[in-house]
Amino acid sequence: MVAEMWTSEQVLALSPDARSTKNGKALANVAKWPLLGRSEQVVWGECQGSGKTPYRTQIELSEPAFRCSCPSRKFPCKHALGLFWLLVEQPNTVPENVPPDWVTDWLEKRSQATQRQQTKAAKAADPKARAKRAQQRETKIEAGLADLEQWLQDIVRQGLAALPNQSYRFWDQAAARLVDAQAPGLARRVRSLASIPHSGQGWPERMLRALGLLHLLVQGYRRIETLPPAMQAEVRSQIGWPQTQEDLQLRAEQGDPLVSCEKDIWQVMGRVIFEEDTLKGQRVWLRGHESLRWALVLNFAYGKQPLDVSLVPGTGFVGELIFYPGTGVPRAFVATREDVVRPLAHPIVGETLEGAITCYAQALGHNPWLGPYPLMLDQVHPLWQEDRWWLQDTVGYALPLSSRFQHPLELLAISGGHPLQLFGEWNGEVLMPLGILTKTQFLALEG
Amino acid sequence: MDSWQTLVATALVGTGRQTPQPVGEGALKALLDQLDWSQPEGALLGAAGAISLHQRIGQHPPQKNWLTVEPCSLEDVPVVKPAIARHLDTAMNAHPHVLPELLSLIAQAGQRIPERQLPRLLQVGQQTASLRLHVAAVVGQRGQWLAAQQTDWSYARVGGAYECSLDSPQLQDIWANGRRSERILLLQRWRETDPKAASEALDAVWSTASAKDREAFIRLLEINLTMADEPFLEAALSDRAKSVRQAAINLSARLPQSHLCQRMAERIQSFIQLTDDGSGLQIDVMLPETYESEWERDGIRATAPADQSPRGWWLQEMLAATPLDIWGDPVAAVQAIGGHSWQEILMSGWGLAAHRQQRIDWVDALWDVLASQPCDDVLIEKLLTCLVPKQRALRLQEQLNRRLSKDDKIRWLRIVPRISQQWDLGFSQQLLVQLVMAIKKMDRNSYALAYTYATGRLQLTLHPDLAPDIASALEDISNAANSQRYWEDSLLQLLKTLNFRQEIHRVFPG
Repeated sequence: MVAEMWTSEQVLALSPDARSTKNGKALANVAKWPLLGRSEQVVWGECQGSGKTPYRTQIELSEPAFRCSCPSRKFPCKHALGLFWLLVEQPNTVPENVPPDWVTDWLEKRSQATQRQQTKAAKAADPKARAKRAQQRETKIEAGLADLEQWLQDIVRQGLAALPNQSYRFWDQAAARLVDAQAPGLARRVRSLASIPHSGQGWPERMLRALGLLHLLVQGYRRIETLPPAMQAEVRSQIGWPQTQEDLQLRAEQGDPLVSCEKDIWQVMGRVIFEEDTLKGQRVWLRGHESLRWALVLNFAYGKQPLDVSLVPGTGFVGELIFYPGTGVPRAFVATREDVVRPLAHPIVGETLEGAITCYAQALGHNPWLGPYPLMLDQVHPLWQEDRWWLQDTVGYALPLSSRFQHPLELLAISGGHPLQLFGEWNGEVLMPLGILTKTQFLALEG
Repeated sequence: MDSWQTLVATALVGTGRQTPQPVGEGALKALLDQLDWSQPEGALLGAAGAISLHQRIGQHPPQKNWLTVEPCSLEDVPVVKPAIARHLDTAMNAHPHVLPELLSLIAQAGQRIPERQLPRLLQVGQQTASLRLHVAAVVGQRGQWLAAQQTDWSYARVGGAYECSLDSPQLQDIWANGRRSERILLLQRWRETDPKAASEALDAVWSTASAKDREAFIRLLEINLTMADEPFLEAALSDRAKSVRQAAINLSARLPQSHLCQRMAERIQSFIQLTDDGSGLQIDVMLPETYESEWERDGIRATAPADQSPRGWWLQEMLAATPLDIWGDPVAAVQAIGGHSWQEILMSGWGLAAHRQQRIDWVDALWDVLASQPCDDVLIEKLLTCLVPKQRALRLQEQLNRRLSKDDKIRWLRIVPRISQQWDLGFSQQLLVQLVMAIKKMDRNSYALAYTYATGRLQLTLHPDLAPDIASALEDISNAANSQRYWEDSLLQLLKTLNFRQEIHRVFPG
């Protein structure tokens, strides 16, 4: 039964914030649900809320997907969380039954919706129109890059010392021009330069590093034909060249060597949610159990839209991932997957600190613009030294933990002086822990 | 790296003012030489990119070789089920006053809380001293290990009553070197399990302990107090610190055979005479004329409260510390002072003595008179604490079920929340019935009482299964003619807490 695959910890990981957790837990009480039922794939219930009619909540267990008639904008809402916890912790209270109409209706609509999306994608794939769009894009980018190059050289000619006096518009306008030039990746990099002059001691070094990296990217694009194919793809994606999943699917089917398709037992190791202006994003780290290959799944949501919650840290699934062309940390998306959610398959292999950093260095060698990198560390101890938290391995090497990490004492409590296996993101300077693996369970840490 | 610093320096002032030079060594230099240095901006940026990448790739984690702490033993009591862990989170978030009950249930089940919740609970215990023993009992070996890493949490090293023996080196170390809060918890646990050993340990450190330490420690002798403690207390009557002397007085007064009580018995002979001339007991009272300075050492306070005359007050103080046996049969004695001009003082004095000496026979004799008169409610509470729980509930039930005036009913409704006893379901239901009747008759908003019911001890002492009855009572009240908003809020609050307590009790077997 699918329900048995879920644990309380995983339900906790789905909660959007502390308030929902608290309210959800309060609703994980049989007394609050006058109607409860489940079948193979779905669980449902009616919950008495503050209104006259009870709210109808349902969860499709394979993804999981939620739906509730309450007016809450949170996703999943507290009713869904409560129902889920009830199912997981007190399964006897949820009897097997035939699903009522409102459940079967929803399931049908969902399968229709996926079909509609697929037909829409097929339409956009007209080759002539696409070639024309690509040509237009190239021209605009060329112009934008020339602009950017001039702008960078001006900065260096005048001297970095003048930068703290520049207003935000200085950076914002340059970024806006790049957005117009259809190079959103570059625009994002330029925008992130704005805070460096005010970031405290050592800012000129950080600024020069960032400018140098930006310059490399521009020059890389200039010489793009001289680069190997995978690097070409990486440069394009860093600039902000769009890639749709349908597109990649097609290329994979046609046997494009740059776009690989891998089937494996993919284990979800951790999740980080970040914000960028009006956009919410998340990085989900997957690792193939057989191939030991890392994959990064990126999702975005605009405004109040919820983020995709189908990949839950601490679970695994059998499926196919299609990888974006590029170098360094491979980005991928889930092409197909089995419905069943599995617990993590052991053994899970990690590395020493030295080994992990060596992999990072290699990845950096393949991709100078590398973002956050996944580290699976074996046998590490959390320690407080030199006014901050560190992880030290059994050979004495140490890595500093991010000062934004909220749960160092919990880490210490779980370790108890014994070495831990830990998964986290490394950004070249600090590590953000995202998950702890003990012999019996996986504990997700909010990233 | 010098090359890098040079580059940064040039970048700071700008290539307009300073011409960048090719820098670096070895392979890096060879690479940088390929840049077109006749275009200074481009070359500087290119060099910046190359050098910073070079540095980042060559980065190596530092080898610190710090010493790690001794790991915690892996043998430990079992962890609670996830449902209980969730309740713990709810309690810490929304119902902190229920924590003692929940933690006691966990401790009785011989279990501990999950590692993940340790930091939060230890923090809560650090902030709320009254929770510390409860927290220490449920953190397990892992919690004690964690507590040893953080000075703020050292109180938890005292551990549960079911764990290491009091001779263990760890506990001996806490006694010798720990902070006051730890030593207090330790001594408390000691007195509970081995009072004699605890007294010996206290004796050994007494002369070198600070005043604050002595004050805290001597109070703990209240636990399992016996005549064996008397010599120590008698000596403490002459302690340098007033608070210590006061504690010694309070404790000695509970032991009728103590020197203090014997002295008091001698004193009182001068002022109260009992005579039995065949037709019944007669009591002659003469109030003391002046205050003798030697009375202070034995705890007779010189300054009376504002509404009492000093001479009567002194007599009452003496009575409160006199062994009750010198008055003979309590029923006869109480009868004899019916209508006596000093009846009030005698009743109060005897009442306090009965409470201190835990004499149920005297409590029974005094009860009917005191219960029917308006008198100090604090005294009533003290008398009630002497009784066994069943008796207590019975006595209160009697009073509540009588036909009383509205004010009298409210008096008893006010007394019940102050008693620390777990009421059974029957009593709780009866109390609720009386409360609802009283609420309906109240003609003004009695905020203070409503507040006591909502936030006081009653939340924890009422039987959890009363919850459904409260829900119906709420409906009942809100439909009544006079709107009693404070009471609705109060009962709602009570209902929330009882619901939660019900859930907690459901997850524990038995």
